[in-house]
Amino acid sequence: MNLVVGSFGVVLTLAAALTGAVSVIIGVRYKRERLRIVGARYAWFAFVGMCLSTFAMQRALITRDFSIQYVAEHGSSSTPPLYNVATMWSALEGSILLWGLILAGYLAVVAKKFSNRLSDPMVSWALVSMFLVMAFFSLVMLGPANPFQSFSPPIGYDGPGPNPLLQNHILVAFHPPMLYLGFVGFTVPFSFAVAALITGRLGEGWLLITRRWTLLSWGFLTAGIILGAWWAYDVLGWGGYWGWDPVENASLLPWLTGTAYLHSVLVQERRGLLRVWNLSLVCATFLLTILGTFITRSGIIASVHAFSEGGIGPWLLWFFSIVLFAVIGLIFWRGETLRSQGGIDSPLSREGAFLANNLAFAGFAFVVLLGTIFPLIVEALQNRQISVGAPYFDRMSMPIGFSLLFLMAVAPVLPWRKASTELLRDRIEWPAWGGVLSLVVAVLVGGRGFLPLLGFAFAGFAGMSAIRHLFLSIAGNKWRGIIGRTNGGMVVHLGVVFLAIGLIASSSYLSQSSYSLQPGESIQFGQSTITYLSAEQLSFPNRIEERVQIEIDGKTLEPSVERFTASGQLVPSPATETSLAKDIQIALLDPPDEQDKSIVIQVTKQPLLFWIWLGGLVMLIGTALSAIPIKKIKSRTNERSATIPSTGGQGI
Amino acid sequence: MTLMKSGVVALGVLGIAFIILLATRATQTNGPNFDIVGQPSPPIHGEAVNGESFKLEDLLLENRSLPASDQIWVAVNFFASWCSGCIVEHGELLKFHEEGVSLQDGTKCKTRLIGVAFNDRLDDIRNFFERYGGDWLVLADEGTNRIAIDFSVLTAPETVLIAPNGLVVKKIVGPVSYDDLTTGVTC
Amino acid sequence: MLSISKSRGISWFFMMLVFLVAMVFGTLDSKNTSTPAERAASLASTIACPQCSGQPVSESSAPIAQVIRAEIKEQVDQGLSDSEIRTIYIQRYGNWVNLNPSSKGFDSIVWIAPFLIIGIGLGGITLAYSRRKLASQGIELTKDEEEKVLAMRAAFEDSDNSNQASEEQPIGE
Repeated sequence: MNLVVGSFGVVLTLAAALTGAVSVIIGVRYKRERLRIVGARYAWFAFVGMCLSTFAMQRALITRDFSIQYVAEHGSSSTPPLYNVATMWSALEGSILLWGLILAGYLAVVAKKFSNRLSDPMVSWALVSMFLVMAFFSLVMLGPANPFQSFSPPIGYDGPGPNPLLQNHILVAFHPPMLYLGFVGFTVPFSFAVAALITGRLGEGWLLITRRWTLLSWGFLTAGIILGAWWAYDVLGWGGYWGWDPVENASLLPWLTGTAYLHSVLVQERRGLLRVWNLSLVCATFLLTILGTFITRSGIIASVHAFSEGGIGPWLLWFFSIVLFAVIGLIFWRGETLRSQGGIDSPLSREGAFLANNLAFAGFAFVVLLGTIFPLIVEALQNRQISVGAPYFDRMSMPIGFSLLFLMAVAPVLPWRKASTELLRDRIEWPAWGGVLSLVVAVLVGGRGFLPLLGFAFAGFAGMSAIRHLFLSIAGNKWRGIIGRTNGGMVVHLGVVFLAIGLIASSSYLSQSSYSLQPGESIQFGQSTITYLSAEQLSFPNRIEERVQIEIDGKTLEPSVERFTASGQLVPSPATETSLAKDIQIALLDPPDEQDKSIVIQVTKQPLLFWIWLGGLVMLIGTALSAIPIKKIKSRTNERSATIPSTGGQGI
Repeated sequence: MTLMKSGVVALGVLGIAFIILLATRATQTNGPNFDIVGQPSPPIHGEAVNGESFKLEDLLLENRSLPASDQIWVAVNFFASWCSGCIVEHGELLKFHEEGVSLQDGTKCKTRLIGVAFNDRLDDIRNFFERYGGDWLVLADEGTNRIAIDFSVLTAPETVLIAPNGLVVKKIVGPVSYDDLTTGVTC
Repeated sequence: MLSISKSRGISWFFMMLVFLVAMVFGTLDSKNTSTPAERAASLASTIACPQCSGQPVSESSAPIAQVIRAEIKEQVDQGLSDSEIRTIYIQRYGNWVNLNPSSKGFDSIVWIAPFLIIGIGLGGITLAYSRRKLASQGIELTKDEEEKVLAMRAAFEDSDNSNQASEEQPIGE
């Protein structure tokens, strides 16, 4: 039953997407408005299809319907109930289903929101683009990543359950969906960019229409990445939250180009400049989400996060190639007409700062991409294996990070067009004091070392610039001074500053040691006393937990190690003592056993680690503030921007 | 062609190269094999699950005083009680343990199978062998980690074949078959 | 009474002074040599665990990672240098166990290329900008006039920002 409903849903989505695409294309080419409207309605059918499939899958997982192969391979009667829902995206086929569901959702909402503007060819072509992407993913679900294959379970069969690391933390329910909401969301501005290229309407129209969508997707992607880091920190045991693992990098890449895009569009909206940058950035962001999915699922780069198998790699690579060359072809076709009229008047201006920002983020993305695929290049050209790991990325991201903090400080005080140095010096005084003050405070509380201190100074510089803007804005507009795009953006910047401070402090002043303790024994770790109190063993349906009680600075922490019965995998569960000033994490490396009551623990102390999560929260608050509309007045700019005369017509 | 168009073409060429690069990569296997094959075997000694101790050196020393037909080939099987590949290959190992190696002309070569379990629990190992059979020595003390490193063991299961003179002649990564293990054995 | 610009100037000078003093204090005070434990930890973060899909031994609870970590600690205590310790593992497992790509030979591309690309980007932008600058030679304002215009424009931009006049919603949103 579940199988039938599920498969039907996928087929429905595919059929709806293809029909929708075809009817809208015909409707646009032959100017049949009716057909376009009908075509748009198919978005609903696509969404219904995905809902049916998701419903079927969830039902199968919750009832442990082992007649479906996916459930047989990843479900289990001993998996805690909540985790059954999340099992849907804990392996390949189900994760594609989640992607499909979210894509169909975006498709339906876009179709609804733009339903009264379907006579605009740009909107029509954007819908076509989204329909085609939807069609691709439903095709994948009928081909290499079919979640609804049948299985005949032998009597008494019980599945192994999802990977143990995916069943012991609540964030498994939030991190992937958030991430996908971000990835998939960028399909919307991308589709409009493609539509702009096709119709030749390369002005600001497509930017203005998709502004909210971009912000929303970016917000989700940011949340997803930060939740991922938090999850890693909570679960791994050595205080790490970001390892520059290929799959982590794959999620960071679209975020980098997406952030650049988010800023760069301001220049095009204001001055009509940086058109080629904006088109390239949004297309790059979408392409990078596909590339990221490919890296995660093709298995060509080893990663702890990878979940491959199946022939999905070639499909994703083909899709990537087709989209890449379609975009390149369109840009080539449009050629010089893409270029903005006019240029930047002076490098010392807000446009100049945004251009530098684009360069910095593009450079960062290049570093991350190069580092991730360089081992593949070396292997292809010289047939030897090398690795490019955290030391490379850490070293390279430092100068870029500093540059970004600097730009964050300077850009909000720069006026448009041109600034005199006098003006700049005036406005930058507060922020400069902010930087110096942060430095002094850092030194006073014990921070040492040239690079970290420089980092704190830059962070204070950027932070004070944001505070300055917010102060002036609130002084002028009371509570209104904190909402809206620019003000919300300043709050996001403030969040980034907190994040940066947390990153710098926790990585520069990390201290870590491992100790072997007998029951009752105490040791000194820095200024803290750690005592091994007691141990216990707890049994659960799907695992056995060895838990110890450790006392540190008066509080009791309970790190544990869980051995999952189905796979024998040992999963650590560290315990953390968090405060604003520092985090101390204790991981149980070696639990006690019958012969040997002693344990081995690893203790990690990181100052200001909580500021990372705090910063992330502030970033999200800022994003929400950005989205609040200020005044609902008629747009001064007609987003149906004029066609470029040199193409001699309306495009298509 | 304008500067911009040539830039786009260059990008296109780069794109093609990039895609070809990705398309021609094989999926990652368990890592490269190491040059332990053809080298003298690293030392193996430790205490087995049943309390007996084993030292490879002693066995090799004995080999030297024996005629070729009596010299013993040693297979060292690195495993863990929870690894699924180990269950898959266990039948093959049982065959190797019970039947040894028979050459085409009917001569039987002497073989010894030693298991090395690293970071496993004694109870789990005992249960494993009770369930699946087999009574060869399985080393399981703390020294096994050292042995695993010396033999460049990446993951379980891996099996190494050592000739009577102490040279490592073969290293098989992943579940082993009886034929894999026995081709090339002479005595 | 000091003029505004003079007092501003003094304020900046004072700021620079505080910055320098704090920096000097913060850097001179730090120990340049790391303890053996720190050395071992930092080495461990650059050596990959052989069976952990690319994770460094400092971040893996696999048994082999624990053993290698302990070995590194021993080797540091025995007085081996960083490169000697790295070489041991490279010889044992292969070059891929070194997470820090070499800065010599072909591998150095990964270090150089980003700077090259950013340099080219900057160069290209500067070129485009100076070309446009050359092309547009208009009326020259005096320095005073120019500053006045810029200040007025900046003030306008500010008030524009604070009124959020640019925050209109496109129709249909």
